[in-house]
Amino acid sequence: MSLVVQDVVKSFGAVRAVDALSFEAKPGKIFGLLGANGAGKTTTLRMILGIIDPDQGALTWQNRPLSRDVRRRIGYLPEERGLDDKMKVEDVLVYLGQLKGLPGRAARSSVRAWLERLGLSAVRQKKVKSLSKGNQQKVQFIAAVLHDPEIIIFDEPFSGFDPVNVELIREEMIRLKAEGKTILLSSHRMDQVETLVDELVLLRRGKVARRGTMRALKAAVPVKRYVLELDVDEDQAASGAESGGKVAWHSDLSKRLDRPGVRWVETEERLVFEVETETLAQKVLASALDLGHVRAFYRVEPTLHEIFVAAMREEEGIGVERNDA
Amino acid sequence: MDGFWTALKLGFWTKVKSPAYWFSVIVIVLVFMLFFNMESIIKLLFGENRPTRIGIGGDPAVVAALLEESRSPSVQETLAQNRVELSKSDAFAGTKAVEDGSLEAYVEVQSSLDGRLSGTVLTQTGKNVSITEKTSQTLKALGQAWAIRQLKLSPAEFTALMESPQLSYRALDEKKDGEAAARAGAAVAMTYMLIYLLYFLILGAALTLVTELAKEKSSRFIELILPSVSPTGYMWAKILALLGVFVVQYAAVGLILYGVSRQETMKLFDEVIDLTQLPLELVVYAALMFILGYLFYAAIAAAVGAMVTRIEDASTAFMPMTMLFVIALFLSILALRTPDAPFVRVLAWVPPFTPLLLFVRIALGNVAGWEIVGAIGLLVVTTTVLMWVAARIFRRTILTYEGFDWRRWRALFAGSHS
Repeated sequence: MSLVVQDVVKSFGAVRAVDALSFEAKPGKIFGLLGANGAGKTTTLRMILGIIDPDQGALTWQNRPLSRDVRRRIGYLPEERGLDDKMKVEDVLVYLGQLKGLPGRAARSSVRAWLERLGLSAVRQKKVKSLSKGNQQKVQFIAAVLHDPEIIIFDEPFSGFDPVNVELIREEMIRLKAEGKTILLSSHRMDQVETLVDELVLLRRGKVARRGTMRALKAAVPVKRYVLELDVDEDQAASGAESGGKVAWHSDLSKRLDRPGVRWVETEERLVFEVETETLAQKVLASALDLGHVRAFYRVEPTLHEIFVAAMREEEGIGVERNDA
Repeated sequence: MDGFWTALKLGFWTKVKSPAYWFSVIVIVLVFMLFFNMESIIKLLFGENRPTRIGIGGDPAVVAALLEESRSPSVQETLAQNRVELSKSDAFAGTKAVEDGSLEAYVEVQSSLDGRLSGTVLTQTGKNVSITEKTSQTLKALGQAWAIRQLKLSPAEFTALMESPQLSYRALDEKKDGEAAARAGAAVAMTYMLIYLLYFLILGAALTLVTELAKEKSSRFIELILPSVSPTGYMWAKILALLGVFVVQYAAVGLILYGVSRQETMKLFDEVIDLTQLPLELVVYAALMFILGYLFYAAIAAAVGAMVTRIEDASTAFMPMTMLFVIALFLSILALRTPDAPFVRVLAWVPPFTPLLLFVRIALGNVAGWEIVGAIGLLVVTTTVLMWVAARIFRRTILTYEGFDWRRWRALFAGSHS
């Protein structure tokens, strides 16, 4: 019951856009296809949709090759999207619904239900060009889901959407996932999709740079980051006031707590450090407790953006270097 | 194929159901009505043209004799046909009258010793062909009457000399004797109308195809459509939907004009256009030429529409084909009077020209069956090849936006994506 992409290769002339890519997107899950621009995401999606053919590899749905009929019913929100702006909202959606195989009456009834759901009933007889950009975006989203597809592909779903619509689309995606849809989400905006995707592949120049669930990817990051917050010792802070107050005090503390294997990331408003082992972090904590009252000590999970940047740098041989996102 | 049929059906109905579509039917009918009633409309708006006034001066004896001759029936007929008024004048008054516009021309006449008439014509610019022609015809009629008078012929001899021979016409391909010549003018006029119809239909449909595809591509609407129908399927759906749209539109136009033409008010080249006299065979050939001509130009239009990335570039990119078809129109207008000329016979075989030139040959010329089959066959083969090429270009360029580079044309046929 899943969408499987296996060892797929696609080249355009001398450029290999997708190189031996494999992954499995499961029902009731959101699968992320992430990577920088030009990583091969859209090419992969177009192969799944049958717009272009792979040079090698297999694409299956429920253990059978993706047929034209299955492909036709896939819901698709392309990255670059537009509508026939001279058509009426309802007509253009019914047209697209019928192209997806819905009979005319069923298409119209689904369109009306979706328009009502997204608060667009009042504009259904208006021409697309008379709609605000935000409402046009909602119409485009409806075009992807109105035929109740089993597989839905969102290519850069939040690009061009205003913050209100981003939230709306996120909620709808979560609802569609709860309904058991197989959702494939492609994006280069890690921050926007981090909390949505269950499993993902990070692509770089058509190849998989990282893959797994969010939890596994985060756990796999060797460097662990901790935040240490201490209550300011009035005397010490006062004694350091001449040389810069709290900032100077934090700087002084970081020097006193420093030991091999500890890398200080921030030493101004708070203390943030990275270590490779839990034991070393505990040793820093123990030393801190000797120096004063520790108000907070906690580990910070790496963000998807950091994992992505680290993966890209590792691939390029620059070495892992975390940034505070 | 479901996607293809849906795209075809919806592409057709979406257009046909729109009020703008039926409004354009009315506009086309009005344009044709305006064109074929232009003479009456001009008369209605601006009244009849005033007669051309010609003053005659020179040798007083000759002038007096010519004015006397102008009363003879043959000269009166010429004057009436050309709407010319003759008056006596002299060099000074004639020049002044031409200058102030009270005369269109002044002719200084003289006769030679052998009795032959000659003259000098003065007009304002010398460039008004209508005045020059009318003056020439008037003086020719006067000269003939003058010469006959000099010869002192009897009235019977005079009549025999002046009358045109009585001719009746027959043609091998006419069912009824005598109809060919009577209908020749009307046939040319109707063919003229039909080639214009074909021209507007084929070019209009092909240009609509280019701009619609460019619009769908530049607005990225195509991205929503193509997952549901294959690029080649969509190209065909679009081509055939527009074919249907234009057939219905012009069938409606044709029916309205058919009804109007029964009133016998539509005229072209002084011939009444009566579409009820149009042979059914010619209507069938016109429809066939439209379909084949449209498919030929649509193949190129589809490829161009898929390649351009901005709607503004669509008609510019299609311009060479538009120019080619304009040449086809010019050639077919020339062919109206010489449908069997060697250049028409040869060029009717050249596919971009076939729809119009072969149609003129069929309508007015002496064309053999093998010529019709051969030229149509060549057009069909060329269109098939063009469609194959267009489908490849369409597949490879409809979703690319980096602009087409002809230096990479080989990639279109090498199996790689451009």
